[in-house]
Amino acid sequence: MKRNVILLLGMVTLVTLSMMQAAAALDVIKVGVVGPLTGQFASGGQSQLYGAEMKAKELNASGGKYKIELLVEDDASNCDQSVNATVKVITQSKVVAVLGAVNSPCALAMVPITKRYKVPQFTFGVGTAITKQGSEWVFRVAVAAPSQTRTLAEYATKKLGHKKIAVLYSNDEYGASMAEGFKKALENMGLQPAAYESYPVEDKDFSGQLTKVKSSGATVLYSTGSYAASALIAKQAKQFGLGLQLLGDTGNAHPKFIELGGEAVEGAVIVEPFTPADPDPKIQEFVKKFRGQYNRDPDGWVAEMYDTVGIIYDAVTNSGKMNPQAIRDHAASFKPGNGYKGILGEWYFDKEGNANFSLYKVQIKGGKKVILER
Amino acid sequence: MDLVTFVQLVLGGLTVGCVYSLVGLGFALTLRATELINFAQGEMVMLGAFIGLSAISVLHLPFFAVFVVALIVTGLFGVLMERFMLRPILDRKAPLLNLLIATLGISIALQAVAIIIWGREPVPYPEISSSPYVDVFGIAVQRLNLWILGLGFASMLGLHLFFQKTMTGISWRAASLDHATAALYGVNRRTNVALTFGISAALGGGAGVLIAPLFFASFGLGHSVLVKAFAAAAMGGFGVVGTMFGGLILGVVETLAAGLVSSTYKNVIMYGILLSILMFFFRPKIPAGRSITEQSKVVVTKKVDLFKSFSAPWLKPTCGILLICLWVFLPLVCGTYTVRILNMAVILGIAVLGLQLIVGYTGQFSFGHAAFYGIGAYTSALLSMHYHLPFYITMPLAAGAAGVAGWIVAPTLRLRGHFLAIGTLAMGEIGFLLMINWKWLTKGAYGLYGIPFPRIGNFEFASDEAYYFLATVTLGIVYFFLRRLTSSRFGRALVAVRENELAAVVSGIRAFHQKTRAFVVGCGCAGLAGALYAHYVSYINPESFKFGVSVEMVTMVVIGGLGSMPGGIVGSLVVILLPEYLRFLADYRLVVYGSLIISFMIFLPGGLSDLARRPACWIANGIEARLRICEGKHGSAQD
Repeated sequence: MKRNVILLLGMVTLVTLSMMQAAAALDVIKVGVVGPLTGQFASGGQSQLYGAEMKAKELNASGGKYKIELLVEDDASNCDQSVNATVKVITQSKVVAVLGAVNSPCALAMVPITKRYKVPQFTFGVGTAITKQGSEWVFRVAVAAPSQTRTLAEYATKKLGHKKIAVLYSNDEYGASMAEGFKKALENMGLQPAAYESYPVEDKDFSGQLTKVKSSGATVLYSTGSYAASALIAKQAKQFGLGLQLLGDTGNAHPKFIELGGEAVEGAVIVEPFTPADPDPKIQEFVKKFRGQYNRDPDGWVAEMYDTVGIIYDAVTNSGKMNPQAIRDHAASFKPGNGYKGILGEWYFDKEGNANFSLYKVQIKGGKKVILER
Repeated sequence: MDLVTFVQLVLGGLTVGCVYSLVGLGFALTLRATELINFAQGEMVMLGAFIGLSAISVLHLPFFAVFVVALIVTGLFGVLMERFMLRPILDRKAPLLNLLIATLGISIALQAVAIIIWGREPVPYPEISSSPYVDVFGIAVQRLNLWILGLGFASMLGLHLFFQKTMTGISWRAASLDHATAALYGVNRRTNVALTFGISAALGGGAGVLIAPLFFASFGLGHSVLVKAFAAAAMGGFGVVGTMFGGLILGVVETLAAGLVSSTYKNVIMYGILLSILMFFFRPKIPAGRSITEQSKVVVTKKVDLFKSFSAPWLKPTCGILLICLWVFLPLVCGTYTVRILNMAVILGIAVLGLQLIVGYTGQFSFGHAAFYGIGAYTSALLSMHYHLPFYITMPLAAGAAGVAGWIVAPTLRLRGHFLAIGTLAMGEIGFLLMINWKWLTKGAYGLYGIPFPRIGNFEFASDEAYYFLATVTLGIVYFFLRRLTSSRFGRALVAVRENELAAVVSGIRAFHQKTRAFVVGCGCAGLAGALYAHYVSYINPESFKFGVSVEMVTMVVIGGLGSMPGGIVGSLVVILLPEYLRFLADYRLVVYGSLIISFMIFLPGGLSDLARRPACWIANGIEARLRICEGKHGSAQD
């Protein structure tokens, strides 16, 4: 009996809690943040959140008319949950913009929802399909997979002069689109990857795949997937006695990649739209501030979300209108030479909603990133 | 491939295999002492890794000492876990499945706690020795690999000696063979069980310290070795020596398969080998071999029937009308978000009803239900996208396809108990891997997008509210159909098979035939649900049909109540709605969710349907007392 009463009380509390909704103030810009905070890709979600949070804090402290409120929802990299969370922040919290998701498939799954409710969605998911859905409400705030891999492939073949490049990718959407983009870029230059191997996302032992890389005689290894997996691949390749030039995309730009990989990732070449190594004082100040708050180096994802929140804030202050349409129109109105100036440089989106930045090519030397060229 | 590479591969495989063996031994021991699959075993690995990390970075202990510290601490943790979380469930003689779900709750909660304490990002281990390589017959071998192999083999040897030479070990073995007889000879079952959990957890923790320097310490570390370690234990027939070899063989086969055959199909090969070993070469038997759902209070009690027959004639229609009102007005009252998660729950509920038929009614088991759900989703999506067939045609076809797939794999049902669990798990994983690798059909990891909304005539079920009615009506039809089925001769035969297969066979029921039919119908339900899901979310990819989803479905069945159709629906509502409504807890959400699952299992072993039956029982007791039927029997109502 007592047990039942407790259960009943528990349920009642749950229901009341869910009904309670914060009263909305007129000058609060509500922004939904949907991304993984648990599960395998939690660190990506963390970068997204940190970037948005840092900019929001700065703007709120600057004493302007508007305040930013972030409504953070965890999707555990589960696309159903991403969609549920999106519907929640849009219909219940009435956000005027949504950031996320981190995983491309989940960002893709969110596109029909943000289109239906006419709320702008900003994602750093790199999957090509995200901006090909005919939705004018989605913006990609990162460099899409094909341009990243093209830059990488061209740099490796033309600048570094390698011809035999092996590709090792995780068999999820991220790895598959990067690997395919890279293969196409090579084919355009009349080359074929020396080895083209995939690995299951949960895997931690890559000796089988590395054997194939070894027997292919490749001199360069492009590994794409989570930075933890790429760091492991680098370590195991070294253990295998493979002296390979490593290549990486923005997925490996996370500072943890260097920390986890240690000596094994020395000399790796990475492309990223943002690098803490840039001596530009504006960037250095940003890096210092971020380090002060979160005790690590910022990565591209942090910078992308930092600027995105800036764009949303600007849209509302400039137009004086607090609605999703105004934010979308503002973001869509950017033109080269007349865009938003953020930490990543100048922002403008193409017809499909893709942002594009020139990528830094950085090399890891002595545990630090050194810029090769931009 | 040259010899050096081959040797390196084998050595790498042995190292990983050694870890599989250690973790797998934990599985084997708990399974033999309590017949429980301990899902929290993976989290012991994670815990060991982090404790080891703290011991290295804070106390600066040498690696060997770190290993011992992790063994002891996780061992103690295992004993405490048994004492305070699992023993209350064991003591109630709840079905094994309840225990299994409780360990799942522990695993969810522990992972969330680890995130709170140690963060989300993987942490590297400090270098263990200054010179990482040793030269063995001209091959550069990592010192770490030797450490792992050495410590791994030493622990296995120690364990073997413990079971062969010490009195405690021998009595443990006696109890695992026949605990009743062993008890007569003075073996204390409780101490034994506590000891088992201690040793298993310690083995997991030790394995954690061994692999963390290779793979980094992260909150998901245990998860990645869990399935393979279990497979290792199953291959070894859950014996001590068998599991040791099982793990080593698995590690080597896995690595060689990736190196020699195909990295894409590496896991397919591994699970295929596992399934064929289980099916063709030897069908291992565990001593007691009781069904995983045994002792579940499933059959609707007589009291509920009594309540039904004595309820006033106006009660049923009134309730019916109220329910219909609730059903119609619910989407109008609650917001879109609530309707959306309700829809998700209802859609999964349809699949769960199918699983209920398999698990609750037939006493079989499936850890691969999500694969059939996925087959349904892909069938319907592909048919409507490529051939533009209307939804009312693709949906039954999806159910049919899932049913046929179920029929093809039905021979696995010849496996029993835990082997059935691992067999279905392998089956589900193969299904998932095929979805990811058959790119010509499923577009692999990219998934299918732009799946059209269902349309009947000119009406498109695009809004969440419209879909609510589509999904609930389908659920109603499936529910009605299964209700009729389970109360028919066929359904009673199923219950007979579950309760006592031998007796059922003697009474002329073709047990295997019966199981197959139930399995096919259950898979068909999953396919139907999959079709509804695909057209609702309009984007599907293989990630939605992974092992985790299968486990979630089993949780729904158990939380709802085994063998109760309404329970299946309630279970799916709870498992979907609860985490959504706990969102305000942020980081603590999964800690609370996991703990709730554990307490459900401790306090409500019969599931939520049991809770609902109680008022009916109380009223029935009242009626009984008043009518003085069955004198002396009242008061014996269930707890």
